[in-house]
Amino acid sequence: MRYPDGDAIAGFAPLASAIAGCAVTVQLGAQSFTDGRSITVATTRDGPIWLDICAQAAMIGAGSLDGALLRHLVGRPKTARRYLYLEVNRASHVLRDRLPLGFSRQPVFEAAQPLTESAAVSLALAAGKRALPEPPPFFGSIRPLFALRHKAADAGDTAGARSDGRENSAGHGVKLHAEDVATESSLLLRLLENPFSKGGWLSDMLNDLLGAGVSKGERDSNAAPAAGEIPVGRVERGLRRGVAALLGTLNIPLPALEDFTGGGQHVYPEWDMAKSRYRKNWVFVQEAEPWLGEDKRDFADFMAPPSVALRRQMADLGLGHEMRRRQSDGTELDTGAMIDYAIAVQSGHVPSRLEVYRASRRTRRDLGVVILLDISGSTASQDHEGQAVFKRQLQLAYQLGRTVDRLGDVSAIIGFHGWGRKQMRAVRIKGHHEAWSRAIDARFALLEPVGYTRTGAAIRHGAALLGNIIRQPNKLLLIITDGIPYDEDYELRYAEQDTRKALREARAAGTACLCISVGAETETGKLAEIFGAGNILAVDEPEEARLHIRQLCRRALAAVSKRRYAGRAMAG
Amino acid sequence: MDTNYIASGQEEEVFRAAWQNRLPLLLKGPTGCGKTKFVQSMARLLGRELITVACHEDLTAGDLIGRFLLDGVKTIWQDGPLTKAVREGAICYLDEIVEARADTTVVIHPLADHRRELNIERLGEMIAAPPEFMLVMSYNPGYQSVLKDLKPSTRQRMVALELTYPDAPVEERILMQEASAPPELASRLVRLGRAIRALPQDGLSDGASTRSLISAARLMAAGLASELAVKSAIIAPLSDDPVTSRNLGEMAKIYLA
Repeated sequence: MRYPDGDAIAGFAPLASAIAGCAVTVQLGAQSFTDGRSITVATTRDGPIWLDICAQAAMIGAGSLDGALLRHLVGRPKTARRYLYLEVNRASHVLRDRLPLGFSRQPVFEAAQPLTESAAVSLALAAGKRALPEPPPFFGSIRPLFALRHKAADAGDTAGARSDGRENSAGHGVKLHAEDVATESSLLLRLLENPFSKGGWLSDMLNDLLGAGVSKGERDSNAAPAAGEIPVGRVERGLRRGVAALLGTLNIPLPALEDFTGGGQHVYPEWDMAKSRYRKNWVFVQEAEPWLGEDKRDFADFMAPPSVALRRQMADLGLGHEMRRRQSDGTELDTGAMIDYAIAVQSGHVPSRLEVYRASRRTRRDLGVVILLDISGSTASQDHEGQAVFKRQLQLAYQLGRTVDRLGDVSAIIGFHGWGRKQMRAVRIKGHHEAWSRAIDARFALLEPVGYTRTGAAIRHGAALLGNIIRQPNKLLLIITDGIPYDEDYELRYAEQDTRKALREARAAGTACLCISVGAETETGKLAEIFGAGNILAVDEPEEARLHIRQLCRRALAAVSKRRYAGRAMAG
Repeated sequence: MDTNYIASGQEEEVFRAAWQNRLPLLLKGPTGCGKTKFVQSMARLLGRELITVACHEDLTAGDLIGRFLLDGVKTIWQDGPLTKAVREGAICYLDEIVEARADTTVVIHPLADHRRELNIERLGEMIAAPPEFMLVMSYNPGYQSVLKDLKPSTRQRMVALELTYPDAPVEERILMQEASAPPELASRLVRLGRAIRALPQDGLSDGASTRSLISAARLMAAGLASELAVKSAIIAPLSDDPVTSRNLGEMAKIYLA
């Protein structure tokens, strides 16, 4: 069984993931080994390659790639091979209930009990002198450094995938294959250093962004790692500032005020964390029409119409029960209908249908939805697959917007971005009174990711629209954003606190708020801190949103309706 | 199917003790792990009639308790399943209780605590439940949102029993008993089922249930090729995505080979 092409090999991912118990990808390479996240299978192997995949995945599933143990294997290929033999054996016992029978029946696993009962014991035995058989070819090999690199990346950042590409492109992967012990060790030393120091992915990225770093060529030729160029504590802040500053200023001329062609201006307060009070009349939000840029985006190619599955998910949100009269079955008799019926029977008629009941039916659709779409400059950034976050956000907003519109909800879609507190723009993509039309499609095509994110004001604007103008009993505010709020005088704790405050105000007024981040590499921990862990949906692709959106929306709506009820009870 | 339920833990003891002490029981567990089968088996063991109600969002209190129907120009009262169970001292099984609305589930409150009585407002009648009567409810904690929907006041009246998919040896025995699967096939199917359950859940609606493994074995016993049987009974119900289905199919081939 040979798989020369990469697509077919990728199809083994479910097998690997099921055995490993976590998401694992599979690809072809020079040797069979795993780094804990992906399994590489040797192209040169004779015999069924699924055996290799099972062996490697079983090691992941059985915890053989523990960082503390692997460290002892770096630069000790012989011990590593003995460890491999013991650990695949142990893993085949630990996971025997979910490994294929064909794997468990390999002659090498004949023993009723494994030689070792834990990875630590395996390591001790591997380091000892006791004679052990040579592992069969399908065990592949163990490459401690690859696994360690991922562990370190997992611990230090959420953008591990980024660091992969970088190191491979720098040719480190090739060096590793040469089994050059010295190189492995020095690489390991660098790896265990501070990720912000010179050579770390974060400082690389920052340098790339700000154009301040030495060139990659220079750096790679410089074997000895130097001390960090950027003080660690300030890096995160600096990075955020840098990114936002660049993206916010690069591709846009600041709009002149007369460019605004939209409706009215709104003024909202903002929460001043330091003084624990509101700054009254602080943020000016201007309603605006989408930007009429020069190059209109070709829209058709990426705006897929919403799927039936999504519509099904959203269909019963905000449905209310209402008592219907004159039903053919129901809980209670409908007295009026009963009297009519009795009169008809007494006077000699037999009505053809016996509709004399009252029943509670879920028919009323009483949901108002506002979709807030973050169109600030930061969304133009590309994710690890080179796709702009902005594009995915647009796709999702489009699909959600069309879905709720088709379901008959009162809905509005607003894009938001701004340049400081006096120039927040709320771009009307779909007004709440508008029916869906080509004009709305066209407005999507006109959007441009520029400016900054003043999330608190956007939420206040959306909530005000829902509460004062749309005025439906159930209010749902969906915020599609790449995450961190940032604007002039609006960052870090201040921005977070204000956003949180705005959410609290909205919820107190009975608006369910949900944050959706699509394809963005923001730490979900941060988003969870601001929005509450139960109110964020972080997905890689717009299509994935449909899997969870119903649950989250229902929960958010239920939470505010309880609050509303509690509030009323207290008032009464 | 009149086969016996194969216990994977001490669930039978808990059930029996709850019944003897007139305590209502809440069964928690993923779909297809054998909750309904367990209740059926226990009702038979205890010699009680089993009245099952599949709960849904439109289920009203009237659907459970009863209602007036029209008969000519008169009305007649028709007992609902819950009233019937109370009158007859049966075991009333409310399947997927969280699907019912909260205002419906409150009617079981006086039945589920020390009072053990059912109040039929429309008749102005109060029925005391006989000692043999038992209330059993089930819900699937996998659907997280509904977990929150079950009111704490309802939950706290219950003795809860957690069922999971059985251990591999037990599940193999179940396949052998329910679908007359040969031991080797049972082992292969159970390994496949457990592997699918271990998959990260993205894209799959749920894990492969014991029920779906039984279905696959039955289809094979009926003469279907093993790959087709697994595809029809296990994979197709789990995923609508063609790529996921194809990959799972490839994975199944390895487990069945």
